[in-house]
Amino acid sequence: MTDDELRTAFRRLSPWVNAAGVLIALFLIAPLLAILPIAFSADRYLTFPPSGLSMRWLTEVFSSPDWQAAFTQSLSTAGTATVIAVVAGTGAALALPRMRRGARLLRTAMLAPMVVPPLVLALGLYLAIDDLGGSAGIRTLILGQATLAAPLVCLSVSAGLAKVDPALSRAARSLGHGWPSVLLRVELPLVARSIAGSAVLSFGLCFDESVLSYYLSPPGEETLPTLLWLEAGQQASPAIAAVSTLVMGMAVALLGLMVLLTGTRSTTIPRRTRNARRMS
Amino acid sequence: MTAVLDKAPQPSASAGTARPRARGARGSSGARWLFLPPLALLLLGLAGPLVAVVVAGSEDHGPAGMFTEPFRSALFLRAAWRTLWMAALVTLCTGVLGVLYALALGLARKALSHVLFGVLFLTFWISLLVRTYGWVLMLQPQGALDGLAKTLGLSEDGLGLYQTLPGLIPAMVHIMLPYMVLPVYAGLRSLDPAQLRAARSLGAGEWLVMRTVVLPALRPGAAAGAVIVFVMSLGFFVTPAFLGGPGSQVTATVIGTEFGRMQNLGGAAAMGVVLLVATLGLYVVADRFLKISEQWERV
Repeated sequence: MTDDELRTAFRRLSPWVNAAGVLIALFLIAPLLAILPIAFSADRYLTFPPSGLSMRWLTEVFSSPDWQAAFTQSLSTAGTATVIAVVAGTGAALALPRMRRGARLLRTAMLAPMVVPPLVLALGLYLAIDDLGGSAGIRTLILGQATLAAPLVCLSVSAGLAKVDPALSRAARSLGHGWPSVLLRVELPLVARSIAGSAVLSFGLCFDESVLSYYLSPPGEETLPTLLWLEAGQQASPAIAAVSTLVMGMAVALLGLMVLLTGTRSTTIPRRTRNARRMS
Repeated sequence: MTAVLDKAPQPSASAGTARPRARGARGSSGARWLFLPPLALLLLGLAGPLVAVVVAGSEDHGPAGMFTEPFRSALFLRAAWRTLWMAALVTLCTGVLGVLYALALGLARKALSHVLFGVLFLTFWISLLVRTYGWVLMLQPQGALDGLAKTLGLSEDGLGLYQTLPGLIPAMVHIMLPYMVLPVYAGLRSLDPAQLRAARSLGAGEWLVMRTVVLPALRPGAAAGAVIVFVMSLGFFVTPAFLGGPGSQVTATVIGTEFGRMQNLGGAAAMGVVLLVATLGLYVVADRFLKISEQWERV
């Protein structure tokens, strides 16, 4: 079904539907737009609308050691969690089509983290570490965030894998390659773009994840969402809006990176033939 | 997609009979090794913690008491009812807006459709906490909406929406909308154009085609979206924590308070098990009857 066919079929109805769509889009964008003027506020306190515009809050946030430490903490936490999530999610995506038994079970289990309430997961991680005699810390948080991100990696690599011709791995196998060699030289290169895209997705998810962060990151090692949450609950300073703006800017940059990594689909076809030729 | 890959090894298996197979194609495909990292992560990051919640929840009042004890608290009972009908209301509003938005994505001209897509993905992708904070700035006393109401001459002393249910619902709908739009839009894309042409050429008006051809085709996607939205709303924490206020607590915020401020881990765990059983149970049942995960794989 192409959009043109839909459009011609509903010539009279579409202006109304479009108008509704634009209104809903405004509703979606409004809370984000509410943050921007506050972030550039010249006032000492949170007032709407601000009496003047300035960069004072952005510069203050940039030079604050607390926010800097939280930002670095989030970068390293999300980075580590992403590595784990990509390994586990890609493993699951590659294992699923090879499994005879248990594939359905693994698929359901792999998607379960998406429907478990994050608060319950945070409580569980906290209790589990407690039972083992430790105390919840950054490593617990990394484990939890990796668990949350792995399903997305699995879904996106599975989707990439579905576009790959299964004859390629079969050909490599019949030419005497063992599975590790087929994996490294045929399958992984063919889904490299999907893996890279899912890594960006997973990093963004872990960087922004707030519930596990809030309950598991210990005092002194707060991640950016934790500090944002604590500060937003305590005080009405435009600094929080400034940090929010920076977080939004980073999200947009990551989105751009993802489009760059996965966007140009046309290159997959020459790659595929090149690989096929190399194998023959 | 997996159906294709599941069938794939068959030809090689028949070819393999001609050739001596080392340990059989099954054993040498590496499934066992590839399966290990996700298994380890799921055991450590999901199964272990969930078992710990169940163990801690049943410690004080036994396995059966775990389910009855939370309901003895009037606070939890009220919060549970509020959560249920709030989730239902959010699902209903998200459903209506989501179908409209998905239709607009399909019917709009290319430029507008791109803008609508961009807005949807942007809001989906930007930090949940930041979006919730945006709603705090909109709703709080003397915030953006109060200012707007004043300029329009609607109300002088503010709308008083901050930390009330009428303020919380739009914010929740805002967060949940993409989960509805994406599966509905996937349904719209898979509509057979021949059906549309047939209905039109037989003289059906636009409204009739919309009601009898397009909307029924969107139903499976809308059901998949509705289940996800409802299940996620049941366990939703961040937005109610900021916008719910003390007078309108939901299940998750009650658990959060017991867990964080009160350090009543056993009580929090028992309530957590109730929430977990409700969300996971609903998801599994809905998946069985409505094939939710298949709808989502089409997205």
